[in-house]
Parts: sequence; C-alpha cells; structure tokens
Amino acid sequence: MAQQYAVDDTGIAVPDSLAETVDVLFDGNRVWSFNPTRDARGDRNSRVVPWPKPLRPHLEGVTEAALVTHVDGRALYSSEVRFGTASRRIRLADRDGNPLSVDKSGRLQRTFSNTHEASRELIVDAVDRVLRDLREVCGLDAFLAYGCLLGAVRDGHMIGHDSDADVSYLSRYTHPFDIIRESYRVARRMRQQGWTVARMSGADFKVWVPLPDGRRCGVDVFGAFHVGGWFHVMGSLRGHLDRSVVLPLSTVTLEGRELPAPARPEEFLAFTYGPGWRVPDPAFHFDHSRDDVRRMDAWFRAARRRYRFWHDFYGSRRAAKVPTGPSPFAQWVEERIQPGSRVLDVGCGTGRDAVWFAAQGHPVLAIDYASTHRAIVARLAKEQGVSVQTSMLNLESLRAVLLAGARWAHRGGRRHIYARGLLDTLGPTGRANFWRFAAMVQRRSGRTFVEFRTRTSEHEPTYFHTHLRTFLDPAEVVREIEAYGGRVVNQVVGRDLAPLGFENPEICRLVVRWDQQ
Amino acid sequence: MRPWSRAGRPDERDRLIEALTRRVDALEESVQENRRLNQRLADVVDVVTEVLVPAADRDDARLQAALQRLIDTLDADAPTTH
Repeated sequence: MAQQYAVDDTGIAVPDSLAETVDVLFDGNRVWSFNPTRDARGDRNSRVVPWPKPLRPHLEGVTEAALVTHVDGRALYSSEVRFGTASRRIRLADRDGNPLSVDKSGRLQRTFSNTHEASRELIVDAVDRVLRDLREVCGLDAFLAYGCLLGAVRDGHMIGHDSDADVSYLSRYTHPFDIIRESYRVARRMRQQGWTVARMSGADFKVWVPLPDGRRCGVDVFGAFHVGGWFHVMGSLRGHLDRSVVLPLSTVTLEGRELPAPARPEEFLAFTYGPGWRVPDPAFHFDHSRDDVRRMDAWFRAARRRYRFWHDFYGSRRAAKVPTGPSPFAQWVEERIQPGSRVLDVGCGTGRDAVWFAAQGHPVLAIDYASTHRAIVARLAKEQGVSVQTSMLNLESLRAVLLAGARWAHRGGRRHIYARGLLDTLGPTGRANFWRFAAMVQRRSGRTFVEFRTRTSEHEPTYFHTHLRTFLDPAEVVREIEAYGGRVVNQVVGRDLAPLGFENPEICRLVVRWDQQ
Repeated sequence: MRPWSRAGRPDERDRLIEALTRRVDALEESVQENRRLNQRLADVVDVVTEVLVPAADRDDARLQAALQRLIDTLDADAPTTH
C-alpha cells in the first residue's frame, strides 16, 4: 500500500506520487511551504520531508496541522498533532502577535499574506517613493524586480509568501569597482532624502520603511549590471540578457499603482526564475552555480565574512551558555591599566568583560559587528547597574575601519584596546584591518591587549564545538604587528589562562604599543 | 610539446592531473583575491574623495562635517541580514 500522509516530530511523511508544492498550516496559519521533489528524503516506501531548521525549536506543543496544495488549495491532510511532551498550543508569532512563517531565504518572518491591508498599501506606497527617489534624485534606471515584479505581472498583486519588497536598477557602469562606488553614492543620496538605509553588500542595500504597527518593511535595492558581456543581478544571478530586455523601462501595475518595470518583463522574469516562472511556488529556492556565487562573493560580499554565523549565534539560545562573569584575561588586563582609563572592547560578544570593566570604573565602549550583541550587552549592563556604550564595527570592511579609526584618532586622551578571542574569529583581511585600526587609534598613547588560541590547540575538542575559528601561531602574529608599526611589549603563552568548561586551550596574550618612541 | 602527449603512462598522467589540479586551485584563489580588491579600492577611494576636497580647501569645519557624515553611516553600513 502506498505511504499515507503523517506529521510528527521528525517531519512530514508524504506519498511517493506527490510532486506539487505544499503549504503547511498550523491552526490555520501557513508556517512553511515545501517542494516534495526537492525536499523529501528517503526512498519511495518511506518518503519524509524533514522540518526546516528555523521551525524545529518551536515544535513543542499541540496544533491542528494541515497540508494543502499551494496552487489549487486541495486539502491533503488535517489532524491535531502533538510535538514533544508539552500540552500548550504552538504559537508562531512575533512580539506583537503577528503570525510568522519560513520565508524563501529560510528565516522565520512575517510575510505579506500576514500583513494588514493598510500595511500592504503603505509598502507599495513606499516602493513607489523609493523608486521615484532612485530615478529622479539619483538618476538611475530603477524598476521593480524579483517578487514584486513577479506579483505585478502574474496578477497585479504582491505575492503573499514574500516578506520583502525588491527593486533593482541597471548600472551605467561595467566594472565592479565603479559599480560599488555608484552604490555607495546612491545610498548616501538616499540617506540625505531621509531614508534609513542599511548596506547589504558592495552592490545592494536595504531601505527600511516603518509600518504603522511599529514593525518595518525592507525594500531591497539590487544593483544589476553588465560585466564582460554577462548580465548580473544581485544576489548571484548571472547569464545572458540583452540590454533591450531592460531598457527603455516599461510600466506594470502593482496593487492598482503604475510602477516602472523592465522593457520586456516576461523575459526578465524568465531570466530571474527560469521558464516555470508563471506557476506560483512559495517553496522556490535559487539554484545558483558555485562559480557565480563565488564571483559575486569576492566582488561584493567579502566584508560579510562569517557575519551570518555570529549574528545567528548571538541571536540564539546558545549565547546564554557564555559565562557572564569576567574572564581571567580581563582581570589580568585590569591590573595593568590606569584606574579610570578608557577601554574599547573590540569583538565584545555578550559584553561579559565590557560590563565588568565598567563596574571597575572604566568608561567602556563595547564594539562588535553582529547587531544582535547590542541587546545582550545592554541587558547585562542593566542587571549589573553599570553604563556601557555599544557600537558596531565591521573589521572586514576597510571603509568602516578607516572611518572608525579616524574618529578615535581625532579625539584626544588615552584609550586601551581590549580584544579577547577576536583574532580567532577574523580572517587575514580582518586581522590586517584590526592592526590598522589599533595603529590609528593609539598612534599617541594606549596599549592593545589581545588574547587568542594558538595553533597547538587546533585539533582539541572545544566547548562551543561548531564555532568558526582561526588558530594562530604567536610568532606569525608578532610579525604582522611589527609590519603594521607596532611593538609587542609583553607576551605570555601557556595553558590554564582561559579554561572554559572541559576546554583548556593553549593561549597567547600580547600587549602591543603603537606610539612612536 | 603539449603536456598530454608527454603523459603516455598512467602514473605520469596521474601526476600531471594532480599538478594541474593544484595549479587550478592556486589560480582560482588568486582570481578571488583580485576580485576582492574591487571593494577594498572602492572603500579607500570613497573615503578619500569625500574628505579630500574640503581638506584641499583647508576648511577644517567642512572636513570635520564630511568625516562626521561618513561616520554617521557606519552603523548603517554594518552588516545586517536580508
């Protein structure tokens, strides 16, 4: 007998014959969609679609689980299901009670189908205004792209399972260097127009639009360009598409509003999504080639190295496993600096040391590049009744390092740089940028204190076993520091310096001066 | 002479494939390294051009303002997730 539908903790069992995209509903709300051909595991007698990672932590409790075909809404399965042992109802909602679902980039998000009519109106209005400013103020050939264009051409409406709004522009440049500079210039102009802009890569940025319910919607502005005869659209689309498919721009209608579109939208959509673009598929994933992703990564996304990992780590429950008291290194450093001297804790993580330095009477700036660290540091500081300033700095971005370095170099006074476990998380570019930053900040006074695991401990088991780490040779690090004009004035290498749980790695501590004596 | 015509014997061919694989890996790494220079150069040129004009004018107030304008973008330029 053919396998029937079943839903449990491990996943969704589906019959071998199922090929259509299926929506998964919990208590009537869509939480996820899957494509059985792509997502199912096992053989024809036991075909199971495993739960996606972001849903797994929420599968504890009871819900009315339903499976419905996406295109024609045919009910395939419906039953009260209990996950784990809890008897409460599963609730997938944000802080304001808005239902969440797994979006196409694999994140739990509020999507347009869960967005009120009034908000949808405001989102389209914002897209319209963003496009207007990109065209009229920034002088770009900007148009609707991705999901917004797809929805407009299919039925004139936004796509329910989308969680962001997408626009693009055809760059007048044909070299990555010029394309990046153009994107920087455009983002600057947009900020001057009053928009809140967040940079996503060298060739795309996000415009944040506040919604009346307190949430915000992101309008992504993707660069599109020809380089060497190939057409590219950020993130990683690459292929052959003639300029005449894009320009001169035409118009399409989205939620009753006329908006700019590529000259031949159907051809543009076929380039974006493939020949099957007309059939709705909320389980759609881009299947970019490794070479295309590598090329775009190196051109535009090098500054995002390892970012997602740390952002997710500090946003997860695993961050709670980090001790909250001061590290032995913080105490070692505190004995060596003047009372009340200023400390820049670079790569502060949860802020355990930053908060402790503040409690000892040091003005502290806690710096990290994962935005998720800020809330954790603020909570810890509040618990301990101290004040700690926080700031974001991406050491993989030379632009950010030059600007932050210039800011501190201009200000007088002595400040120490404290970086525990930072070098372990950086690659060679980030490390070089960190030395440059320290040399700028401390050109007159102050010392840099760094602590890192050495290469000796590379293959030893670690407390956070999946952390991305670089294990360094102290002699190599000293050479790098000297190449950037620094002097190592103290060096300690050994074990028992930073034990964590069962872990007791070999550690190197360095004290560096950058002033010219 | 082409390398393949030299590599008549299977063990020679294996050695050649191994050597070529190593060279392709090294070439790919060099290509990636060169691609990354685009953004690093754009970063430097962006900062320099924004502050150079007021600096050339010896206008310290404008220089500070230009620097501050760039610094104001730092948080916004920090990476975020889509």
